[in-house]
Amino acid sequence: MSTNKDYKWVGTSPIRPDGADKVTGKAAFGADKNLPGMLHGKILRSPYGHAKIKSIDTSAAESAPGVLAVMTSKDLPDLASEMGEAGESAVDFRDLSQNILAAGKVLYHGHAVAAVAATSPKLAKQALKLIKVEYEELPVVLEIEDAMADDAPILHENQFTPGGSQDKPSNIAGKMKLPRGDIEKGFAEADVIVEREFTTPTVHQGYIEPHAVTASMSASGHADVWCCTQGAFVVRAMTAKVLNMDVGKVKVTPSEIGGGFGAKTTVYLEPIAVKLSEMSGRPVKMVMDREEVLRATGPTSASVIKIKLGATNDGKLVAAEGTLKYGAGAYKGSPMGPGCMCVFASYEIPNFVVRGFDVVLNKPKVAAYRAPGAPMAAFAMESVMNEMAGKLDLDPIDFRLENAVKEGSVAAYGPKFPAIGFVETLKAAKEHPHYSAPLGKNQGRGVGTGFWFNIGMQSSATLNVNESGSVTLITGSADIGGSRASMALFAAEELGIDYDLITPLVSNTEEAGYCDVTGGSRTTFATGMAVVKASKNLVANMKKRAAKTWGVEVDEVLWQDGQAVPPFSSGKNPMSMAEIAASAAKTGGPLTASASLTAQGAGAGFGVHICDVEVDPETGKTDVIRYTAIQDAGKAIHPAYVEGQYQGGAAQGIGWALNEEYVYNDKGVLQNFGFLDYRMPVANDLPMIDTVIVEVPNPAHPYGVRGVGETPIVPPLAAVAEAVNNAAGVRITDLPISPPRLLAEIDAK
Amino acid sequence: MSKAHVTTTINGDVVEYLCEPDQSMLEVLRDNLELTGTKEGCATGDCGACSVSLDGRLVCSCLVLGVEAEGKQIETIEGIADGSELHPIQQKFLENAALQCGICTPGFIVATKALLAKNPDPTEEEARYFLAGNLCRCTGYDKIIRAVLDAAAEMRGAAS
Amino acid sequence: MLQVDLSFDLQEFSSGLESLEVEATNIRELLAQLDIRFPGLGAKIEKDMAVTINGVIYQETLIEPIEDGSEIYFIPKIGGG
Ligand code: FES
Ligand code: FES
Repeated sequence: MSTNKDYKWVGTSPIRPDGADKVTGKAAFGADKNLPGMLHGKILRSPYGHAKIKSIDTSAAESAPGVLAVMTSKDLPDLASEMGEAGESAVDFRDLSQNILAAGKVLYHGHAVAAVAATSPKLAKQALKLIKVEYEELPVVLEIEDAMADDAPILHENQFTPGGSQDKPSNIAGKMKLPRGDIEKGFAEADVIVEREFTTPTVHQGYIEPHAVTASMSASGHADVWCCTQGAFVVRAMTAKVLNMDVGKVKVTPSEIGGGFGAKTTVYLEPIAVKLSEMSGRPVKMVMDREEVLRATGPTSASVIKIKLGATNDGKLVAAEGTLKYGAGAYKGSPMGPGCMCVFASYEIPNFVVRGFDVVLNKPKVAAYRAPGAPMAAFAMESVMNEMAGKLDLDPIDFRLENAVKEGSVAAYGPKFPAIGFVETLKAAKEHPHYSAPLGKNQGRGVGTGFWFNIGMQSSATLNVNESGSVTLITGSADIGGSRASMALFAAEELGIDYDLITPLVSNTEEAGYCDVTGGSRTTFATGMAVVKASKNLVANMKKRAAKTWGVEVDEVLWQDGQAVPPFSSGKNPMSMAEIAASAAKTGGPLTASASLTAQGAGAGFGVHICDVEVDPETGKTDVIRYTAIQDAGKAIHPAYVEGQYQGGAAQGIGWALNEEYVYNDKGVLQNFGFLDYRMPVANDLPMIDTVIVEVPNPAHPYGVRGVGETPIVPPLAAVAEAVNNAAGVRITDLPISPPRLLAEIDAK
Repeated sequence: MSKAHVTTTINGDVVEYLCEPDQSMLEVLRDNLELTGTKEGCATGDCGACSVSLDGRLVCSCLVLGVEAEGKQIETIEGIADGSELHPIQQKFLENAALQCGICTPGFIVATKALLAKNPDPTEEEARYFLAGNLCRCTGYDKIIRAVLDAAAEMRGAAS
Repeated sequence: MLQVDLSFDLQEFSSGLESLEVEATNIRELLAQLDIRFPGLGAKIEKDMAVTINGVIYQETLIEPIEDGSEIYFIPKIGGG
C-alpha cells in the first residue's frame, strides 16, 4: 500500500536531531529562560463567573515592597472590534485584548483582571492581594441551551445574532447552514431512521507544559519575547496588535514547546509581560501554574449535537439532518464551522441539512484543539452510523464502505474530493486481525471513523551550506513532535547527502522567514514543501557552480547521490557537495538557498479506529484492552513520528470518551482544576496502541504528504462508546462514559 | 523569613545553597541552581515531570522542601548520562521515538531508572503501573513503554 | 466559463441564487467578477472564505490560476490544532 517510489531517507525513522538535548534535560522550554535583573509577573483573576467591574484600586499594590509595575486593561490600547488574520483562524482583536485583561466585565471565573511585576514571585503574589476590585455579580450561564434561551443572561450587550434581531442582544454569535437536496423527500425514501441527541463536555488540551514567557522591552521600544508557542510569528502579530506596536518592533524567539495541541496558537501572557517590562524597565518572566492553565486557557467547546439519519434496507444513506451547537466560552469563535463541514463529510448523502450555532457562555474562551470541532461531530454521526448498521444487520465497516466518499464525490461542505484514501483505510481496518479477534465476557468492540481537511498556509525555509558541505536548515516552524527530523529528511533526500549532515533549526522571527503556526497538521506538509523547494534551488545553484568549474553547459550537469555529474564527453570527474562547497568562494561565494510559499492542496486525512473494552458491571469502570488506529498519511516521512501522532491522538480521544470533563458549580467555578481530578489517561489506563499507516499519496505534494496530526483524535469517541455498548448493552450519548454514569445506565437497563 | 543554609550532594557534586524554608526542592533546583532539566507540570504531585531521586528513592521534587535535602544525595536528569555518553534508558527513548514534545521525558527517564533499579525485568503491566504517576499527553505511552522494556533488556544483557 | 456554486450562507448576497457562471482566469478576477454581480460578495469571500477549485482547497490566495470549466466553491477558512 506504499508509494512505489524508492527513497533513501524519506520514509525512514532516524533519531531526531534535538533528541539528545531532550533526554538529558538540556533543552530549554518556556519556563527555562532567565535574564539578569528579571522580575516576576503574576495575574489577579476573577473570583466570579460573571460580574461587572465597578472599580479597581491598585494604589496599595503599587507601593508594596518589591513591586515595580501594576497594570490593568486601562494600560492596553482600546481596540476597535476588528477581525484579523493571526494564526490559523480569524480573531477579533478586541476580544483577544479583553480576554488578556478584562475590561468592564469579567466573563468567567479566572478571567485576568490585573497584573503585577515584582522582584520575586512571592512578592508579586502578595501584591495581588492588595489590589481592590469592586464587582457587581451577574447571573452566570454555563450550558449551551440555557445560553440560547430568550431570557438568558447576556454576556455581550453589543452582540447580535447575524440574521436575527438587531435590537435584542443574544448569546448566539454565529449561525451556519449547509443544505443539499430535499430532506423531506429523502427521509420519505428511508426504510430505517435513527435520531439521537449527544452531548460532549468542555475538555482541555492538557499539555504538560504551562504557558510561560520572558519579555524584555528596550528603551528604544524594541520588545524581545521568549515563549513556548506553536507559532512565533502569530505571537508577534497578536502581541503587536494588542499593544499597538509595529510587528517589526517585536522579536519572538520560540523555546522548545511542551505540547500545545492547538491551544498555544494564541496569546495570554505575552502582551502583559511586554507591557510590564516597559513599565518597569526590567525583563519580566511570567509562568502560569496548572490551576491557571485549566481555569483560564483554551479548553475546547462543549457541544450539543442532534443527528437524524435515514437509510434504505440495502444500506444506502438517503437523508440526514444535523443540528450542532458549540459553546465558544466567553467570546465568539467556537469551532462550529469546521464541525458542520465535517459532520457528514465522510459519506455520500443525497439529501441533508446541517445547522450550526456558535454560543457564548461563562467559561474560558475556547482555543483550537486538534481537528477543532470534528471529534464532537464525529462522536454523534459515527454513533448513529453504528446504531444504523445494527438496525440494518450490516457489518459496520461494510455499511460505511457502501456510503464512503471517494475521489470525485462531492463533499458535504461543497467541493469535490481529489484523491483520498477513506475506502483504502476502511478496507485495511476490515482486514486487520484485530477486527475479527474473539472477545471475552463483558468485552465489546467498536469502530469509529474520522475526517480532517488539513491545511497549508505560509512557510519559509533557508539552507546555508557550510564549507565542509554540511547544511544548516532554518525554518520558523515550532517543532512539537519531531518535525525537525522530517525537515532534515526532506533536505537529505533532495540533496542526496546524509541526514546527519543536516542541522535543522527553529529560529526566531527576525532570522527565519515567515512561517504560520505549527498546527492544523501543516508543518510536514507546508514547511516540508518549502524545504523541498529551497533544496531544489540549492541543487540548481550547485549544478551551475559545477558547470562553471568544468566549463560545460549547466543543463549538461546531473545531480546524483549528492554529487554533480559532468557529461561523459567532458572527461571530468563528478564533484561532491563537499567539493563544491569548499570551492564556493571561487565560483560565486557562499551557497545559500531559500524558498517561501503559501502551500495549497493540503490533502484530507481519513482514519478508522478499532477499540475493544471490558466493562466491569459491578463498578461501571471501562478498561480499553485493545486498540488499533488506521489512517491514510499520504506518505509517512518519518513513520515512527506518524505512529506517535496516531497513538497520541487516540489516547486523547479515549480520555475525552471515558474520563475528561470540566465540572463547574452553579456559580461557574471550575471544581476540578488539577491533574488529580481532571483525569487524563495515565500509562496503566491504556494498552499498546497498534497502528497501520495507509499511504494514498496526496497529488498536490511533491512526496504525497497529507497532514497526520489532527485526524487521530476524531474517531475514538464513537469507537469507545460503541465498544461499551457492545460490552454492556447500553448506548451512552453523553460523554464522558465515567463509571458512575455507566453504572447508572447499566442498573436502569 | 531568614533563609536556610543547606549542604547536599546533587549528581555527585557537593552543593551548598540558601533557600526559603517554604521553597520546594523543584524551585531550588530550577530557580536557585539553574538545573532546569527537571520540569514543573503541576506543582501538586500529579504529573511526575519533576521526578528526581532522593537517596535512591523516586520523589516528586515539587512535594519535597529544599531544606529536606540537607545531607542527602539527589540525582536529577542532568546526572543520568555518563559524561557525554547517554545512559541506555536515554538511548532507548531516542531509538523508540518515545518523546514528541519532550517535556515529560526527564521525569520519565528518572522514574524509569528507579523502576529498573528495583525491578530489572518488569512486565509491561508492571512498567505501566510503576510509571502511572508520570503524565504524557503526546505519545499515548506506547513508545515510552517499549523504550522502558527495551532499556531493561539491554541493561540486563550488559549486566550478565 | 466557470461554474460557481454558492453555499447557503453566501446566497444572502445573491438573493438566493445558488449557482452562476463567471468568466475568470484566476481567483482575483473571479472575486472581482462576483463583486460586480453582487456587491460585497467578493469582499466577503476574500475576508472570510477559502476557495476550492475542482475540490482542492485554496486558503489565502488571489493568484491561483483557474482553468476554464473548473468548478468553484467557497468554504469557511479552516484552522487546526
Ligand atoms: S510538577 Fe511535581 S508532580 Fe507535577
Ligand atoms: S512527549 Fe509531550 S508530554 Fe510526553
